Amino acid sequence: MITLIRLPAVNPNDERGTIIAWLKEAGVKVRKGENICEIETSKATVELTAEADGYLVHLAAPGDSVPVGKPVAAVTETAGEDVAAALKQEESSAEKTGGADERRWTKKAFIVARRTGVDLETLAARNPGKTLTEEDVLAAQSEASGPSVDLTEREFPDSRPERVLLLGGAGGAGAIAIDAMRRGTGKQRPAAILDNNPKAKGMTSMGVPILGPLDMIDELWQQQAFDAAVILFTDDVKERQAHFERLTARGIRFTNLIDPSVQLRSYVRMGVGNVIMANCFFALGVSLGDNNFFASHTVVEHHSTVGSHCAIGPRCTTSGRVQIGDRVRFGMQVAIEPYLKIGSDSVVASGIALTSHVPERTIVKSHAQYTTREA
Amino acid sequence: MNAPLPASTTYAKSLNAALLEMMREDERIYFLGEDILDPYGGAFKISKGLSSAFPDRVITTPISEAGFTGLATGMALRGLRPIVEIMFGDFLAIAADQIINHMAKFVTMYGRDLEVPVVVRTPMGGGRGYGATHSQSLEKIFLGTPNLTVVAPSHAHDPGQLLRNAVALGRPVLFIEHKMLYPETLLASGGALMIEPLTDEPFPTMLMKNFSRGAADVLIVAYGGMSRLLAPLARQMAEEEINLAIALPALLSPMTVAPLLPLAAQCGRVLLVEEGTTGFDWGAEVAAQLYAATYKTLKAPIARLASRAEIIPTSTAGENAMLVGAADIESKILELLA
Repeated sequence: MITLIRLPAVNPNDERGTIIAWLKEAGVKVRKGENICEIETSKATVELTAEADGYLVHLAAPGDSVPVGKPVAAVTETAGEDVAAALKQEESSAEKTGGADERRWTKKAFIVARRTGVDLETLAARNPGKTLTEEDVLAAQSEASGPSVDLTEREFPDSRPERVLLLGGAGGAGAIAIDAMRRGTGKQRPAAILDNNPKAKGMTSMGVPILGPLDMIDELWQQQAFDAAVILFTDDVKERQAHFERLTARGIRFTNLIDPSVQLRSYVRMGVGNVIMANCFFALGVSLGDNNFFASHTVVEHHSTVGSHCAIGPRCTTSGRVQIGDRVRFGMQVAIEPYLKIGSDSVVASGIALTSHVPERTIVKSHAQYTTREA
Repeated sequence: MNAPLPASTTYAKSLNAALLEMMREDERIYFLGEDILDPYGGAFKISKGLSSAFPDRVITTPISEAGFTGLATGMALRGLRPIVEIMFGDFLAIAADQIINHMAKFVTMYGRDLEVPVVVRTPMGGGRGYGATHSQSLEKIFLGTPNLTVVAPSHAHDPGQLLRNAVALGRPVLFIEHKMLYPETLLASGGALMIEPLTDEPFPTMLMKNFSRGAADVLIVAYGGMSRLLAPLARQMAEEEINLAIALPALLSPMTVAPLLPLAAQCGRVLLVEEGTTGFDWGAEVAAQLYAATYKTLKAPIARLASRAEIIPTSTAGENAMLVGAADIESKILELLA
């Protein structure tokens, strides 16, 4: 007969107690009610008493911190009795709740199945004894629905054209971007278009599928369905920036998409995510940031700089050493005299010829009318 | 059986050790409060050993929170660095006039900036069955008070170090400790959990993640005692493939969400958790700031959890039903992902 003596709950502040000292040596005979051990809690030091007559076995050492309810000592009816079996039983009863994994699927698998329409019951029946994971559900989904985009691409990644995902542009910009790639060097090809216009979903543009809203991008990136992205919508430059930064932070790559008719002279530098349409001309030493959109026939003269996230309409022209900030929008045929600075977040209407600097956050409606934008 | 457990430091011991060290290093530090002398050593033993080591600088006071908090403010004005212990955070209501109308105002109301280096420490929170007036989380009353810094370390923080930083700040600090954290061993990275500081500040935000591959499904923002619910929940959720990024700011007021923005934008699903009662709470301010900066990238409305706006019952069952629990957090996470 073995009696386990557990750490008592002395006060509600403590989940554990620390063994200070044994008052009885291991192996000695103790009587029920005798003090055998000193235990320290956060409030007080208390004695632990033997709960039966018998021979004492120490199960913890001075200094040990023991959780409430766990055995500290055992008392055996006969001397030298092995307590291993009693402790093993204790452990196995504690383990019972945690036992073998009997779940048929993880909670994430359940959520993903509901989103993708995969029938978990059927999948579980096909995989008896397995805990289904998110990966299993996604595999079952792509098996059922076939490749969602461009998974026919079997060329080795090292030598295949860059597969470019187009963000926005179902309305028309997508088509000219696709045309630019198709007429180009063959080093880029369109993967698909994502567009938030629900009516565009399921249609194609120049034969390229419009898969659905922009937030599908994570899923496609995980499926490695594209290599890099560009943003084609131009109506909201802040939104351009938000998407660019959010996706870049997630490790999604941006590329530059440049029509083959564009002329880039020597020492032109640019970041990533720039879209440059037909017949644009960038003179010597021009520097572009990231994520700008240039419609056709735009001329940026030598040593001019353009920041990031700008949207420039067709046939705009800068003279030399012009500096354009971030998130700037130009209409059509804006002309800028040399050395002028165009501040960030400004908008310039079509047909304006700028002859003086434009401060930040300015709307230029006509030659003489400057109005500060509302915040 | 019972292999000796690692002798890691608990939340309470970390605070106690920091107090002993600070008082050894700096003679300007005084410790004031009720029942703080040895051998009792304070209701939660945070001041254990202090009065034996520094009998002249540990002042046990009558039961008058307004009195000794005001006393400490005066001591601070005269160049000392008092630390006040309010035995239960509920009693802060008695000291509120001294803190809001005197201590915090003195910093700027006399034509020149004054140093008012007082730290008011206090345990908050339920879970012990102490009833309606010893279990509340009243810190929200003080949030937004000008010149008052409110800090609440979780057990993913080093509370002793944060207490040192509070004393070093040289301004009034309200230092909130959740009483359920006292016996907890401080968290460290290990198993499914990775813990790292998200900001490098005197009162940093700690980031706890339960995944090493892929992106977070949900960003949870919580503080103080919520870490004791979130750490085990995060381990459990790791087995369910639910990736959680848990941000635990120590600085409640003044507060900026700037360090949280990349994470919030990344996962687009945010859950705010606090133990105080719902309504006009910490989460309201955090949610408002987060909405302003991230509304375009959110995939679901920001979810908020707080305790029910009721008086805390003494019975364990009643208390569990009223206070935010791990089960509430889990179901909110799954709701966000559904």
